[in-house]
Amino acid sequence: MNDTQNIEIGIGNPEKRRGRVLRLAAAASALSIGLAACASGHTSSSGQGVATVAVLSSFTGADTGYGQEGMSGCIPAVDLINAAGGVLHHKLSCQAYDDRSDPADAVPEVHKILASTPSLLMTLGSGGNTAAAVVPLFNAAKVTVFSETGQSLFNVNHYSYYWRDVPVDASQGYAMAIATRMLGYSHPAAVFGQNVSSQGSLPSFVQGMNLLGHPVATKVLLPTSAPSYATQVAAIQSAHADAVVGEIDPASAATFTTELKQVFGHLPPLVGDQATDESPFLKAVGGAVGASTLRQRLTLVLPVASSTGPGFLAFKKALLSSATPNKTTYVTDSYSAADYDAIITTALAADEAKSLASANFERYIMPIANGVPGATVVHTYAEGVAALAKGEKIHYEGASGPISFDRYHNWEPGYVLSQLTPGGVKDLRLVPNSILRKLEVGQHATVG
Amino acid sequence: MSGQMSTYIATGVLYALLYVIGGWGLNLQFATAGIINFGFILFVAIGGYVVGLFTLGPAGLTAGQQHAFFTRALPFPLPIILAVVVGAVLAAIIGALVLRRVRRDQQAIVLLALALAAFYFVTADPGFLNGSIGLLLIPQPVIGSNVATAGYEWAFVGGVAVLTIACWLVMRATTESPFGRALRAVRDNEPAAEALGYNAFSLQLRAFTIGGAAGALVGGIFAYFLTVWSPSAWGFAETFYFFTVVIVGGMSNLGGVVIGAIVVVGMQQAFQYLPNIGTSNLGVALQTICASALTVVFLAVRPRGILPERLHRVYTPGAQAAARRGDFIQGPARRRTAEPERALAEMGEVDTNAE
Amino acid sequence: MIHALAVSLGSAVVVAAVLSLATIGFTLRYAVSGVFDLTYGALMGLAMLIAYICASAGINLWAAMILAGGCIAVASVLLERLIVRPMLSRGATSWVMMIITFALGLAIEASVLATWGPQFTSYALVGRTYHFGSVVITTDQLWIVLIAAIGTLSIGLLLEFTQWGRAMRGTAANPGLAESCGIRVTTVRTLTWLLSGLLCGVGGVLIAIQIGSFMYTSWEQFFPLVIAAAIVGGVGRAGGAFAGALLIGLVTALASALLSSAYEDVIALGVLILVLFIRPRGLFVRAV
Repeated sequence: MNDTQNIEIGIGNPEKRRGRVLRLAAAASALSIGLAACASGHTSSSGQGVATVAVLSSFTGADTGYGQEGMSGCIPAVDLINAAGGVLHHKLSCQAYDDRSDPADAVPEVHKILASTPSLLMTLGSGGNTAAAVVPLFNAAKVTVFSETGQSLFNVNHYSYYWRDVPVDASQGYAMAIATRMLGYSHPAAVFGQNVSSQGSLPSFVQGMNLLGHPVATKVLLPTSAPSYATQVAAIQSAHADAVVGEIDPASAATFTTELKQVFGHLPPLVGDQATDESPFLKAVGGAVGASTLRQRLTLVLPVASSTGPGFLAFKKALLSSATPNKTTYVTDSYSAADYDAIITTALAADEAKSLASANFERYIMPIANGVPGATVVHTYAEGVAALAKGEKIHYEGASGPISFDRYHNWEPGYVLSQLTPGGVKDLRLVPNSILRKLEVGQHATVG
Repeated sequence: MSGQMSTYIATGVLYALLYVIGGWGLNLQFATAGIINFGFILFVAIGGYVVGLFTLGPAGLTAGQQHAFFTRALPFPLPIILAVVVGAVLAAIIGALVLRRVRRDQQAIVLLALALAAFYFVTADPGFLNGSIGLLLIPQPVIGSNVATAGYEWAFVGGVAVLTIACWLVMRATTESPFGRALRAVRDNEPAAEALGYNAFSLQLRAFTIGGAAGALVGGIFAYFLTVWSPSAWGFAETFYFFTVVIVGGMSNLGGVVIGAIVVVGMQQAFQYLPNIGTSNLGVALQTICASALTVVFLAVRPRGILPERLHRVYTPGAQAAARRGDFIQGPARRRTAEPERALAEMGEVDTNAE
Repeated sequence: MIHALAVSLGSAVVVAAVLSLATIGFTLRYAVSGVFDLTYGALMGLAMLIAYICASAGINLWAAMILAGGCIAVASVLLERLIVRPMLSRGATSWVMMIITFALGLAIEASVLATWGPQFTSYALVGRTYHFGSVVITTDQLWIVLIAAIGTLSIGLLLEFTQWGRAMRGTAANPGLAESCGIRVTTVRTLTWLLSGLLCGVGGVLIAIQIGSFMYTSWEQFFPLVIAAAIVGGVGRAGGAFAGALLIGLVTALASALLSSAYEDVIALGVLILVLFIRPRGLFVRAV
């Protein structure tokens, strides 16, 4: 190989070259700035009568897939809202913005959204990688944001415009511990990946099992997307674990469950949380070990959602008749359902406040979601609008079932053990809330 | 102009300034000193983490339920100064190992591997720098929390602009000085330079250190701006954009790097405005493709960049011929011919080019 | 402990087999053209998808693998003729080629993600499991090891004993001298890229089979390992590449058994860096 890099000196007539080149440089800079400036006029149909729901989420990068999940919740919601006449005579539209799973790209997107989106009703999205950077900005601009990060950072949340209608990672860990005991397993293997939400639920799962009197048999951290997890699987086998509990990102999960099935001869019982319910995960692992096998062996610990209730059915119907790509995979995706509910709740709050500005309608969100005494229970946007027109107070119970926000705008749901079925999700048994509360404050408990 | 639009433009200007400072750092290491630092983003990462670790303090860590191996809250502007210092020190250590012991064409791979290994290491150990989640709730200079008014944003940008000018003075003093000329001599013909008495290793190490410090400065500013610093912000592929800035803008030309930064940031923002078709985000894809195409085209057609290196004297006819050929950063053409005349001409022995 | 180590050994062999053909292909390009081709990974990913499309259309998976290999072989030749050779003849240095190939790899990845999308797919594989003591292996993994072994052996023999192989080795060692000995260097280069492309494609499909279900960017998890194996094993030697892959597989498997499994990639890259410091020609190359 050529060992020395012979980089030759460039010379020339400096004056002449500089002149020509500077003109070229000026043209290039002008072109770029011009492109950016001219393009800033773009949005979808601007003008009166349209309000936007911005979906700022990850369409590329490490969290690829969250963006599509968000759109799969947004599009059905917006379809139904527009069919019922829109919000205060404004038609809604979903606008996707890619944050590339990277806060450095998310922040300019926030400013772009705020600067150039006409009638921004609310923003959806922002997973763990970007939420901490994005939420303060929207809050300062007084824009309602619903997002799906379970990070404990927001457990004590003082951003009054920020709401999370998905459970926090830490409480999911405790719920998984209780579920493991409810299913009768006493020495599970804790298996977690390296992404943000896995690193959030692992500590509380391990601590939960300790508090329940059955410490985990082994703790396995899976490096993201390794070529083989044979050693980890062997560790699980030699610890004689009776179940595999945890949260892994889809890519690693596929390889891992394949090898798990190989070594054990069959897929051992799996317990997963809401992240395991997401479409990318199910597709990846179902593809690896077979969808029906997965359905048999996987138990999910999900927030209580009446998956046969009228709210969910409305969501399902709207989703399946919408133009969303790959829609069938998102029917069981509780994050899409949560996003759908977020938009409907916000739209109803705007209707009740008779204003599209978050500063005006923000205080109606909690009563609508939590309900007040004497409120009419509604399950769809159309029902909500009709009840509001009659001057009634409403309590919206949507695709995620009844939600109740605490004073930090977080949802502390009840949890339920569920199983996947070809048509959706089947609920089995509720996780006792009393035990969950005990674990959260560090008290010992037993599962009877 | 609305306050929001003003903030948006301020963000764009800030990113351009960051690419300028980082571009100058990489420019010094790569275009002037000839060290191919494919792991440049590592220094940006270091700067960001230093700022995070020295602004959060134990209270900040607890507030965000984060973990780090060390933290201590120091008042502004100590953290950013420390970021530059730590960046320089680590660059010196890495440079001392890599520049002395590894062959030149393999330095690139080692540095790339280092950046990758750092990424894997940070995400693997949640106790070191809070793993994939990263450091959060980083307080911004002076005001403490993330306020995001247009006024503050522009003040922030103003501060960074001042820093940029300071950098420019440092870079100019470095590159247009005997030190800079010695660096170029080492870059172009190391054996000859050594024969003349230059210590190639020491020269390159100094350049590497200053470049690393510039990278760390970028990371520190970034961490202050985003109030968050996580591995997703410094993936190894980000180094590629800094290379684009230097290659397109101008190799070893400070003004050229500025132009390169404007082009790259302008392009990044412009493509984000394309509508999404179906599931894919066409804008992001086109942006990547455009950046790649731009880099490839420039390397093929105009490797010196928009504003090339300005130099003043040349001696050998061979070098003159090479310059006229326009091979700024390319080695001698590896033509596999058996014609001795052409081969000799390339070596500068016979001047066969008509002037 | 013994059990864990035995499993590590088994997994190391499988990982090495999965990586080996891809590593040989990578190192051949480096040897003959001097190009550290960072497009290689994106091409592996492309092969995975091509094989999936063929397999979904009903073609037998192993035939689809060869087909995908063929497609990548053609793509590699195009890459060599349209980009690599013109740039090299203008005197582009190795880092220029690294940046160009990296840029192209990014562009390919962006295009595929924009059209195909980030969905997970898998080849529908059914097979039996075999137990050798503590080591468990499936039918497909046996096939992978077999293919890798046969592939490595054939290429080793090709390089050592055939005329083309000698021409390749000669061009790798000293192109000028090879030219004056009458070897048509340009043709040799084209053929090398063809062969290397085939290996790239087949290697990519093997990886996809091993991990079970993949999406387009799955190649990113393996490419650093391929590079590490190629460098550790030494430039341009089939046997060395396989040994390098085996070493990387062993080191990562042992590391995860003895330390924590989270540091596998860090350790593989650490080995790479160490080798470049101490023995840049590679561990399995006789110092000449």
